[in-house]
Amino acid sequence: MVEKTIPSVQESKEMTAQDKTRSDNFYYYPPVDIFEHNNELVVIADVPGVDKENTNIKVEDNILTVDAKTCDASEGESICREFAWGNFHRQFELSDKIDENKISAELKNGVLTIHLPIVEKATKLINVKTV
Amino acid sequence: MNLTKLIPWNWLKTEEEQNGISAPIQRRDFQTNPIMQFHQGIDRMFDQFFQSYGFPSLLNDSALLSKDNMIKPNVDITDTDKNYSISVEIPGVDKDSIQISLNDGNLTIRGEKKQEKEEKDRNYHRIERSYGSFQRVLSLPPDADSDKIDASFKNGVLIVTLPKIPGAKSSVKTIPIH
Repeated sequence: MVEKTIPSVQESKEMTAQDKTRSDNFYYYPPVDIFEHNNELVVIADVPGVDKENTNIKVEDNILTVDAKTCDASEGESICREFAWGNFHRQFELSDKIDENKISAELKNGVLTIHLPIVEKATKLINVKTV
Repeated sequence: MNLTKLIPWNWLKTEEEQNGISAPIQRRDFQTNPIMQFHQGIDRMFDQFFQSYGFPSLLNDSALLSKDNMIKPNVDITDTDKNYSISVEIPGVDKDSIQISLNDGNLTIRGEKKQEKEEKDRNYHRIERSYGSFQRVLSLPPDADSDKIDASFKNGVLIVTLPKIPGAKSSVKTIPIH
């Protein structure tokens, strides 16, 4: 699991992802816990203020992208500001042993949990022919 | 010109006091002198500005000084004509484990953020989130109606709404001279 949020300049594919998030004024990198358990990789991210409808998770070219939009419910003049309502964005490069079709995610109390099943790779045996 | 009007209400007064910020002996005129109050207000404003970008507080080293390792969740306070609204970021906390209490003009929000399920055979790649007890204490301004506090919790954000007492705004009484 390699951090991919800050894309390299060379690869144009990630540049588009960066451009996309740049259109919003700013975005946060949500803090995450990542661990392996029971043959799956679990990503837990703190995304307070995010609705299920506004959460976007996708895997493209082995890059897991988490996009989440917050809905600012507050109105009026801000008196004390320790956090700002912003969108969350984070990317990780996955190893190739993830079953991309079986990825599931749940959102509860502002915590996003993503389950990424690990595919057991069948080890290929190469027969050595006797000449 | 009334300088006190320029000084915003310090919602974090109690918290600062608890952390011993105002513990050093302050000269009396330091507190009553409007220029010095204004100075403190500016200090606080700058401090809040830098804190919003993740800098540690320059006025209180609460992160370094806190003895009990309490998590201090982020708080936003907004002001409309009718009420004050306090938003607290507490992702991963159950609604039932949040305690909101009011004592002597201080609103205390506390609770515990529990780890989902603790299992030993986890091979961690990254741990960035934190768990444990959290607490925030907010000093309520005099025009907040503490009898009508309302709180809602949605998607990891707690929103406490405090209606303003109508008419309380004019706390400055003008006394007619006969």
